[in-house]
Amino acid sequence: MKEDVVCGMKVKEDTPYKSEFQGKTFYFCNAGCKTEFDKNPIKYSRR
Amino acid sequence: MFVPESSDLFVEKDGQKYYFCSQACMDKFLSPEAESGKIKRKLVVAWVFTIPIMIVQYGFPGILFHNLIELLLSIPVMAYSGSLFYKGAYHSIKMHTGNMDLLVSMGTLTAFFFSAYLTFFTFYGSSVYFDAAAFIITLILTGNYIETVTKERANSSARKLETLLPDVAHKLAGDGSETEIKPDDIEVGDIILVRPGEIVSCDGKVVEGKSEVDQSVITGEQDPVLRGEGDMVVSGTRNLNGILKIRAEKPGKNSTINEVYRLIQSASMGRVKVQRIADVFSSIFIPVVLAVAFSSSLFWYFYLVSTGFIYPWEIAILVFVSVVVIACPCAIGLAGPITLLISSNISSQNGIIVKNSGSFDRLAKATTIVFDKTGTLTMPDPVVENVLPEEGISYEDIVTMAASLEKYSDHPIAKAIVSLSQDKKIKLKTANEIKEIPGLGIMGNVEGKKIQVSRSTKAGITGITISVDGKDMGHILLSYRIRDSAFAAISSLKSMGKKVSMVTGDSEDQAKRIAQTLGIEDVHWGAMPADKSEIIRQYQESGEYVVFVGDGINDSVALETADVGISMGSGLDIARESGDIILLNNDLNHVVYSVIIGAKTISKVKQNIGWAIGYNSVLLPVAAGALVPLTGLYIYSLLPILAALAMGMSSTSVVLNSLRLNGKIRRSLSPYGWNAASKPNKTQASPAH
Repeated sequence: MKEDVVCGMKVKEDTPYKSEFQGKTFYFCNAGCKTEFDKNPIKYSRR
Repeated sequence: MFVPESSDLFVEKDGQKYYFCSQACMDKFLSPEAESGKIKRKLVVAWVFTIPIMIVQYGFPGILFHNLIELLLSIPVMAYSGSLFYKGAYHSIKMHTGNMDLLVSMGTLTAFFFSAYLTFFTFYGSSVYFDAAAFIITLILTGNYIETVTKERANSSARKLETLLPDVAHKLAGDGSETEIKPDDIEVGDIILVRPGEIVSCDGKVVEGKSEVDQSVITGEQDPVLRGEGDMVVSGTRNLNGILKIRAEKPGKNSTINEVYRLIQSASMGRVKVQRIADVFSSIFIPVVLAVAFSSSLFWYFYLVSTGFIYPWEIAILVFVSVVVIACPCAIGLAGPITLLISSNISSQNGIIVKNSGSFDRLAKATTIVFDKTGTLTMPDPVVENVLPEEGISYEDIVTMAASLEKYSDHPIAKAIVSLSQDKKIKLKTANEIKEIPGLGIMGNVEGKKIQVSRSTKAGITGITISVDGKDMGHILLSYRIRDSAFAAISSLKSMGKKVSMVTGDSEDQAKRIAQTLGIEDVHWGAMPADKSEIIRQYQESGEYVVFVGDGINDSVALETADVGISMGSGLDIARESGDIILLNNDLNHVVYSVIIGAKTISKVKQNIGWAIGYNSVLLPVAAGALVPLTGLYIYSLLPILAALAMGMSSTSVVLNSLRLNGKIRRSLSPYGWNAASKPNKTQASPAH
């Protein structure tokens, strides 16, 4: 299980909502969290 | 502790799903008072029967039917007091996970049934361990009770808010008649009468009356504020000395006091990053403990059989009981939540509302604090600094002309001019054909003359020019005053090694003037809301952790972009405010306090988790028999009881260590005027120029 860095929920790696940032994959529980991450990846990738 | 989403123990509240590791945890969440009463009853029964068991076991070991008496005395402790743990263990097995209840249940039931077997089926003088089973339950319940009472006390400020609303409100009908209704029954638009000494029952606008209002419960500020017609008053505040009639705007669940209560609760139930360590530890811990318990138990059995020891089963079972009891992970589970609960309560008592507890993590890492200017470092509205009439024109004439037109505008400059005319008791004239041109000013006819008021901000000076029939009559100069607290706050942040920056949409001159006065070297001017956000992003790209302090409504983009957004709340509309933290009073020293509270909270959570993990790591080998070479097997006649004692102590020590956070935060903040913060000066601003 991975952690959605935007909302803190546990998500499975096969979630359709993913983003790449600085060579690392981030997993999200829904499209809203992914959009929020993509708007400001530095902020969330450091959480 | 970590709970899989497959758990059937969950509650949906405020659109969020909460999962629980045990029935006891869920009951505690749903009804903390009832749960506390239940634990207390179980605890009393546990002590009432455990003390006689200890007396029989150690005071009268030779008494007739010794074992049977202990068995009978331990039944109420096991069946009634211990049922709390068995229910939790049952749910934990159902969801294929382990929890503290499972370990306690395995330990106590093993000791009880093994002793019962010895009582009825052995004829040699074997010892029984009813005392261990009962004492483990009693001590762990005592630990739980101390934890519950501590949480209730720590939560008292939030609960104080909830119980603060009056039982009745006085609703006024159109004919002026008064009826008593419950605050929950107030509807938007109702006119509510609030007499001196009464608590305001809903958020609303004053439609009649003038009075001083004590807002300390919401903002932390002790000095009352004057509220009159057109001003907002919020629920939970106390009307001191006049009668107020209020038109309800946000009654019931939407009122400020309910919103503050909800935010404190959700912050204290939140999580910080360092708790992930505790999660990982908890999820692997139970299987490891069970493996250690079984393997060490078997090891001692076979080893003792090989040495010809006559009671190998007894020692093997005592090893098992000691290991599972000593390793209960409840201190690890407590480490984060109890600290966050205490922190969010200390903050809220002083008007710092933490909307998102994850911001404690980022506050602890903050390197750069970026301030918005207008409304943050300076007051949101300008005040008149100087009135400059042309030759032959009086002070009164110029203010009359300007205010007679400006009273039709909502512009902050217009409000400052009208306020001046009211202060000087200058009578205004009737104006007609009013026309306001956004960004330029207002014009109209007064006594047949065409008057124009032009607003301008040039070379850092905000002002208006008044002309009659095209001829200049004079100027009025205004300024945005710097908040008194800005000087101390910026100097404190710099002394803590933080970089301080200012961003503003104002001109270069105006921005530099304020920055220079405050000692801020890094200034960005002419910034639109999107630019502010871009500036923050650039800091983040260069590796800085950015806290942005701004207006909760106008600066929402920048507040969201920053690692931590602190909004200067109006204290009236928390739900609309963006950001992770809201300052309910406008004292900028609270930015300093927030940064310090964040750092102290995270350090305390780390310390607690370290203690809890360290404690388990050291004592587990002791329970498994590491000390037997030094003490001999005799240690096992006491170890189950010592394990229970240590278990209760570990939770209690985590709770007590967290309580020390209160004093630690106060001591850390006192050099920065923490005590003074709750009693700010009545004069909140000083001139910028």
